[in-house]
Amino acid sequence: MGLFGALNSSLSGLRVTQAQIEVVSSNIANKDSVGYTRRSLNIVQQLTGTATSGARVAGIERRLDVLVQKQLRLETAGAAYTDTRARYAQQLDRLFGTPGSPGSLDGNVNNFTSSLQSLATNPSDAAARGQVLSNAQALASNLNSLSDDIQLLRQQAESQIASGIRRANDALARIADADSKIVNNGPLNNTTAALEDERDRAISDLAALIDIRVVEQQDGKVSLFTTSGLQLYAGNPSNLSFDERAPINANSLFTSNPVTRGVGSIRINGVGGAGIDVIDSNLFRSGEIAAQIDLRDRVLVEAQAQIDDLAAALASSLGDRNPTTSVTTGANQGFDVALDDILAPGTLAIKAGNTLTVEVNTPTGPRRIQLIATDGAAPNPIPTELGEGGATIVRFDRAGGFAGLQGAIAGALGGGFNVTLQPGNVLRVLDAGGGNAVTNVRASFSTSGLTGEGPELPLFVDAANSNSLYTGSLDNLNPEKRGFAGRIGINANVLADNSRLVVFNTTPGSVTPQGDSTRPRLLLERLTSASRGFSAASGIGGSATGLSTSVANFARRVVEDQGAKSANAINTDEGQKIVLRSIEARFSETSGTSIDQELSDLVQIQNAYAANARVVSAVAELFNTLLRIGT
Amino acid sequence: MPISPLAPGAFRSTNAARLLTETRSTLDDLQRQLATGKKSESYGGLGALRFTSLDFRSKASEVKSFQSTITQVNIRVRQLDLGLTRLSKISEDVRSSALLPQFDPDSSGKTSVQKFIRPQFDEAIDILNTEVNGIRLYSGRSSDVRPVLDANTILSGDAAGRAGVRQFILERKAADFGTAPDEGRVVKGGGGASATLTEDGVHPFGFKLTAASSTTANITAALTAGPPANINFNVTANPVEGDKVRFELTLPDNTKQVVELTARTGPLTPAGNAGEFEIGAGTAATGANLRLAIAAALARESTVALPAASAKVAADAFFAGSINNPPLRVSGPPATATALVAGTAANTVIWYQGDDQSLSARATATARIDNNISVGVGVQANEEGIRRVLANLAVFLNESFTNTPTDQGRHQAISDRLRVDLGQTSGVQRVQTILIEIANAGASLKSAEDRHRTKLNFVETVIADVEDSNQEETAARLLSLQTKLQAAYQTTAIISRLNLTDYLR
Repeated sequence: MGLFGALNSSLSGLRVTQAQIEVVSSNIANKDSVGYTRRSLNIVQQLTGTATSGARVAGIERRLDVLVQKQLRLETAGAAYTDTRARYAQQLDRLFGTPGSPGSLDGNVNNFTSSLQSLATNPSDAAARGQVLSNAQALASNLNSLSDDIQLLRQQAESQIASGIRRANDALARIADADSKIVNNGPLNNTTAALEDERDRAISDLAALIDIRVVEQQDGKVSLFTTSGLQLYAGNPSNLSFDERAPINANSLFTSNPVTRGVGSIRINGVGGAGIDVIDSNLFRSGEIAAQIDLRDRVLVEAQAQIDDLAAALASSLGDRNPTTSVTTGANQGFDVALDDILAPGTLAIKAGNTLTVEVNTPTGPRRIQLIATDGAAPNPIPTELGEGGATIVRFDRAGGFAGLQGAIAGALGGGFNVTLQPGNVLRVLDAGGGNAVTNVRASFSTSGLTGEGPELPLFVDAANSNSLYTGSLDNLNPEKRGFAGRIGINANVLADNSRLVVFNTTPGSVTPQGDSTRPRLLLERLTSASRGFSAASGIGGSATGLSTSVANFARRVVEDQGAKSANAINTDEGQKIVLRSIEARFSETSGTSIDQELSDLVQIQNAYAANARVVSAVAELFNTLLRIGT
Repeated sequence: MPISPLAPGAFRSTNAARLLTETRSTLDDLQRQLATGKKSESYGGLGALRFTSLDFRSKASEVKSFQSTITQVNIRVRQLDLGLTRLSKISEDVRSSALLPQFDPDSSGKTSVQKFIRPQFDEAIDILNTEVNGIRLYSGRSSDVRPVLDANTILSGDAAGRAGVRQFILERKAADFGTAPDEGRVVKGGGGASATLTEDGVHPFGFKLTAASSTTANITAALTAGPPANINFNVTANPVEGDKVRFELTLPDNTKQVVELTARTGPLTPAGNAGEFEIGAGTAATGANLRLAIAAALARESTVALPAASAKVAADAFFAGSINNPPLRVSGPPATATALVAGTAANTVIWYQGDDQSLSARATATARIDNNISVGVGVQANEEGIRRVLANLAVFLNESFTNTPTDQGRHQAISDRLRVDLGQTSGVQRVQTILIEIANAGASLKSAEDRHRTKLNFVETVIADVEDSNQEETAARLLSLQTKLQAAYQTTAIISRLNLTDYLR
């Protein structure tokens, strides 16, 4: 070891410090760069044989806590999910109006019932009649626009999924690109830090869209899987495709079958699992895309089902007859149901979609049977979710006539009950003793005209469907109820002649007087106090039995339910954000650049540089001294 | 806010900025609360109490609609109260004027009682046609129909020849009178010692013979109930002075008139003195005298009491009529009529055009004023109490009188009937009965109104508790948040200046 050795060491020190300054400057410059992790220089002694001959740069190291990074990716996906859900829930909640405002759904229902009450007091008052119609119109319009807005949100979710898939494909391509470069440069090469950052940034982008797991390979490569196990990337860039659909309406639903499907689905091409339908197999469980799928196919569909239920209940509660009377024969009790159509005697009053519900008590417990009529095209058997919650659904083809109906009820009830057809087409359901009892029989037969059938009034009709009567029919491709909230309107015949709000009989000699309050009172009672069964599809009332309540109360429960869901979504999101922030903070502690740290490092580096330079100048002086000896 | 990608180095400053913006948006929200007074602009923001808000809002709406119902019904009740009170007063006044009626027919044949009654009748018709906001109060459920025709049409019929009360009364009077000498549809007969009276057929008209008696064994009195009924008096031996025979006539309005004939030893002064018959030389002569006396008595009764009764019955029948229940009138030529027939729309004035289908007039207009309370405030002009007043007035208005004892008797007979009929208190409906029922409804309205006021007060307090933000609390929170935010701004500013760069040379 001599002067040359010293000179070499200090020169290596100068090189190292220059490299250090380079790293510090890069750290400071990229302080605010997305995905930039703080670098530090790995300095090791340079060995010559067994002796130290200076210092050298062993590599640039990214300051990274891998465990925290994994958590961060997971929580980013979670936060993107909850954030999307919360934003939509808030929008949905706002659709129902400001509490107490005249435009809110519950305000509309309240106004409608108030005006009916007013009409019942002054049935002949033209102003009261006009008020009922305008409030009914406002209620129908509100339901129409709620339905439109919900479908608009679904359309928005659909295009957001498409955009999410594009961004995911982009991120996957960037990952593949960075990954191949890293492999080409070799894992021990000093220059991969920037590429790794680039890859991590693309992975982070992907993590916000899809919940992913990253597996590091030996050679510096990564493989990506969804948390459900679907491989998204392993050396080869894979590709996601989405067949975006438009326009989306209440009948556009997701099914496994691409032909009947009304909305788009995601397919994966490339490595592992090519052609798999991601949505059908439920492979995305978190992240923004999963949230959009959830909203499109579940949350918003349920909201639509709720207002459809409300619209259907409005139409049928006001317009449906219940021609049942209780009857006692000897020791047996039960009910009579007049099956005859009043306007066309000899034909069935029950129309396609109309129901007849029989509630009985048997020694083994209570049973409820709901007969749903069809003109033949309804699904066979009728799915239980299309009927009243908790009931056994019996499909009845109207072609079977009176006897067919009797047979259907008798068959469903089984022993212990006597179901007979009385003269005049009256169905009689009686218990046959032995601890059996018929507790209730409810018919829901649509009235078709405005007069001549009874005080019921089909005030709300399927306005978008050429003002046709709403019967709840299941005979078409889509159940009539689905999307009914978007089509509900006021019966044009009532609008044309508002005296029909009062007059229900025009037979000479028994014409309903203009001041008769029978019909207004019936409408009011049907809305506010008569209890109806609602399907479990709306998700209100929780259990599979659905909810049994008045129409007005159901409207409030819908608003309440959406409000609660919105509040829930926001709370969940706030919780998730806090988790995300704390992980981000921990990640930033290790990987973030601190100017103070860099500057104090800079002072040290300056000193080291000065010291190394001082050594060089000392060696130079020594050489000078030696050279002067010779002169 | 959406998830933004992380820049680790900038986390601290961006996070600080985020915290500041979040605090700032809380500040904005508090400011909104202060301005609008509402906790939230959507149901989601109301928290767990949104249930309460929704339910109580519907409750409030319900109570408000009850209140507006009560307001509307109150107007109706007040109008009905005024009208029925006036009708009741008319009934009382007319009855008083008929207590001691002055018989003073003028040249047109009208007495002062009649002149007093005419405007009362017109006013009663006016009251019955009362309209409030396009709603006829006395028309039952046909509240859009003017219930009562005008007074002249009712009294005199219309230009199309439909019969009014006058025609009804004329026909009935003729039907009850029959043809002289068989006045009152009773045929007088007998010969020798006997005198007989026989109803001229089975029909609802004229006198009905319902009793016969004699105070002496010398004259037998026999009633064959029939129908047609007949009475046979037989003089078996001459009666002594003061012996009496009696027979009872039942008039069409079910009043009874007893004719008493006293035996006198002649000659009577003046001859044919009412209520007496001369004891003749033998039973045949006495029988002939008795026949004369009976004929005189019937002639008198059929011009005094009978027309009054006929008029009353005819007017009652007329006012009992309505569209679906047309009034009964004399069928065929009156003098020989044997039956009543329902009038038709073509030949008879139907004075009441309103609702006549309901069992209870009160139930024709009901108002729900609370969840389980309905009040009935319907009234029909053809209710028994109201139409009795009109019928009695109409009877009087039709008559005309000349200054003769017969007409005075008829005037008195009509007055008596009016006095009795309008004075009935038990077992029949009067105008006061209706008035009391309406007043009861009014009392229910009043108590419901008080109840609703209290309830609404409570409900609105609850809604305010749930939906309204407390202004003082909001202001206080706003202040403390402002202080915090100011402190945070200052600290952030100081920290951002605290940088090693500034201390290095």
